[in-house]
Amino acid sequence: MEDVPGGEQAEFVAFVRARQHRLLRSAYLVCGDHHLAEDLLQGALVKLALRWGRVRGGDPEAYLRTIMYRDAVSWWRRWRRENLTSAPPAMTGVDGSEDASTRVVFAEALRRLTPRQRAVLVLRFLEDQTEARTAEVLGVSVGTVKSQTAVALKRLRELAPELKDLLTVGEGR
Amino acid sequence: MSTDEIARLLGKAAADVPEPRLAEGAWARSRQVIRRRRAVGTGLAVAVLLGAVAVTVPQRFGGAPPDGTNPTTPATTGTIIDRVPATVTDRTGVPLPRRSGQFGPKVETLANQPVTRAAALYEPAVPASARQPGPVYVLGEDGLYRRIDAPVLEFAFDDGKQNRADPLRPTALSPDGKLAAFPQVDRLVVVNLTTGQYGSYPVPGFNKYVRWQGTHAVLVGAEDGAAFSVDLGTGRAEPAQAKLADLAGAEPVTHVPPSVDQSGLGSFRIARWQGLAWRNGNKIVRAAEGSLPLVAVIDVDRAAVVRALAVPPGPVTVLGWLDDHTVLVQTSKGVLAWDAGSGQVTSVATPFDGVIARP
Repeated sequence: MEDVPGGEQAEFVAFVRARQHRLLRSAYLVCGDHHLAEDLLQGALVKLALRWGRVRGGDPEAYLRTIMYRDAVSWWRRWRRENLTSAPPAMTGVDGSEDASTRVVFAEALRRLTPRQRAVLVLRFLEDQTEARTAEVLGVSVGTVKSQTAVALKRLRELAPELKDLLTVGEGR
Repeated sequence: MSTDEIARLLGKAAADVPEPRLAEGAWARSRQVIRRRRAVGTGLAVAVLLGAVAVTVPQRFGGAPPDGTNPTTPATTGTIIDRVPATVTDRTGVPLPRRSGQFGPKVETLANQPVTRAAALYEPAVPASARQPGPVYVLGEDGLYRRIDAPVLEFAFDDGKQNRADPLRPTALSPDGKLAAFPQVDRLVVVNLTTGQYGSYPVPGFNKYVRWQGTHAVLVGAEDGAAFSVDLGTGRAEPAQAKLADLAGAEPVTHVPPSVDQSGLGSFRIARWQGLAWRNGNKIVRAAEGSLPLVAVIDVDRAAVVRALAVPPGPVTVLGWLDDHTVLVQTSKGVLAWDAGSGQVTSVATPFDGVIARP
């Protein structure tokens, strides 16, 4: 009965389809590897599906985001990422323009941050989450989010001095 | 520039990520998990029922109660406990030292005869009163030994100088067999086995364990202290997030002690885990002390012991996975290969007095 399309399954599929691309991009930014990001998201989605009956009436997106980010920054994920990825995230379609160059420099600098720092940046600036919400997702204090954001931006500026102007603001957010 | 610029940079960095199709697969996988859990639950109920019948029937007919310590199939969850047979057949083809002891001055130094890849490292045991550890030998893939003559390696002691650890750990050899890592007090020494050259990296602490992260970084740390991750490229040592004693194959094993389910072991109880764990997919193997010395395979997904080998009394060191289902174990009966799928135990090498490391 549970495998019959429709009902819970249809609802779950619709929910995931509306979010999977955005979530995969976020996972990729935290992991730095396409395959690992998909693996990470797939694992989080299976966990969500297992609890769909209980979670769907609440805030399934928050539940999913928490699982995915915590898995992403967990230690073994970091180890796998570092071993699977010896190069910056794959950049297809780079055309040598100034914009493309900026993109490569930023991606390379981002790769050198810790997974938690990357997660904080993605949650705060790409997913537009508040400091409190980011802290909740990652299971850390708001103070940690603030300090990690500042450290991450400082580190990015050190690693990519050519992007200094682009990365100057943001700490005060 | 506003924070929108950072969002734009992040967005551009992930712009090439294609849209996945994960929804149906995730749902299907979750249903598989649910079905498997139900099957396990049903099997458990049947096993309990059969166990109850097995206890009741002999008592009713005056027979002896069943032996609850049956070493092959405890009734609760089907965990199988294998034993080392009295006669163990030899297994050839595993590149390991075949005899122990020091090999004398005739052995060439590593600097004079480096290897293209090491098959194993070996450090013979020395008397407890010795102030210096024995030499570390490198067994090349050509079957010849070399002696690491530099640098001079020391024992690692804990803070109170009570416990001594050999510089060679079973996890010292890099996955490609080209580097060897030695934890030392306040430093990590890495020897390039293909050149004989070595480097020393400052790492604070009474370091006792090493664990390779690929071939460019090493986790190093003391048994109960925090571990450091040493980047061999930059020489930088940064605190790691997990304790090294809890790592398996450089992955954290959060479900290993004390939360692992050992109910399937019946009357066997694990009191304490020993040494580092080794991961292979969703399986982890680790030595344990308890009512008997055991080597236990743990299913990470279920956080449960799924198969175990009761080993002879004496020191036990797991040397890792030989293949997908075979575990190498150093015991008082020698180095054994235990097939954790079939339960077969074969002998790889005669008893060794010392430490062995494999890639």
